[in-house]
Amino acid sequence: MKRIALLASVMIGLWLATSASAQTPTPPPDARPSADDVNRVAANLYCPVCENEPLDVCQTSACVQWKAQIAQFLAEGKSESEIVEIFVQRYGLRVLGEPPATGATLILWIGPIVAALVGGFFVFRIMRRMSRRPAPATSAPAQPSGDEYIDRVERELQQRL
Amino acid sequence: MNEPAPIPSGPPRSAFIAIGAIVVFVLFVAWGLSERNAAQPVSGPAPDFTLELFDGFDGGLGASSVTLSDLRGQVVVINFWASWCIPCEEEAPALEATWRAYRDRGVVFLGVDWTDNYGDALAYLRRFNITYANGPDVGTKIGPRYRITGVPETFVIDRNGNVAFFKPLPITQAELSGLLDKLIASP
Repeated sequence: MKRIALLASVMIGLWLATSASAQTPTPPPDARPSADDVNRVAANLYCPVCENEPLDVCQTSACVQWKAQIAQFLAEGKSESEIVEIFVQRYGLRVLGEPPATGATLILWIGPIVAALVGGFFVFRIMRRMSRRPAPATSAPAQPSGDEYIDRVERELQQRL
Repeated sequence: MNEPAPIPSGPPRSAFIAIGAIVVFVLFVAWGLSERNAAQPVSGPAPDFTLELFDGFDGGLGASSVTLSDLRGQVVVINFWASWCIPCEEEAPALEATWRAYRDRGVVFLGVDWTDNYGDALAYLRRFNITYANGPDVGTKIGPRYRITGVPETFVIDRNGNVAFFKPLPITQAELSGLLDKLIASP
């Protein structure tokens, strides 16, 4: 009987523990994220209205609204990648600081590397060809002219060259 | 006995390839610069687009989206706007009043909401009692086709699908009415 009572008390204890953990308060869905949280997401986004200025430092009305929207999405529990995806879907790839390395924009990542490799190959070929080019032939020793003075000038010129 | 023909000498093949690559690069940069500096269309065929409409803002078209080319035969007023745009607020009542005056005379108004929050955009439409067709520029694809540089910008398309008018400033009811009268009267 004691064992049954012990088992029952353990089961009740477990049930209470489970209930308690189930009622552990979770952050309310409308909890306002901090400005740092918003700016962390905004730093990687660009508003088409103000080109080349990241959203976190842009102060135009449009950017202020976009940041408010980011705050709202964060409060709804959306992750940074989900928010970026929504912005790309709504406003296009131009909101991203750098184009994704997929699809049509992949060429923007591969293109410069291919161009550098092709350019390097041509530079290498040209330099190799230049190094193989024979050195200019040196002039043959002058034949004695019979004039001592001229022969001496020729000899000294050869020494100096 | 014939002597062998001399081998023609000239620039190496790699030089031609290098020059070709430079030409392609220069053309690519020139194309990019011309695209960047291109202005809004003021004549010729209007760039086509499909506008997804906000719920409840179909302007009586009875559809969830509208394609410009499907409106051939009607005069179309395309207005780019945003809820964060203060000058847009200045012209909003004039656009709505003109739409109400011309809606039964073969004129369609399309509001294109540019780089805007949907919630703020809908609040703006309700605030100004806008009833003509309105929708977001999803993916910011329509604005670049018209090469808009900001908002508000208004284009008027004639019955033949050509751009008849463009204004990059708030538009008034008087100037829009005068223009629409002329376009409705023309074949």
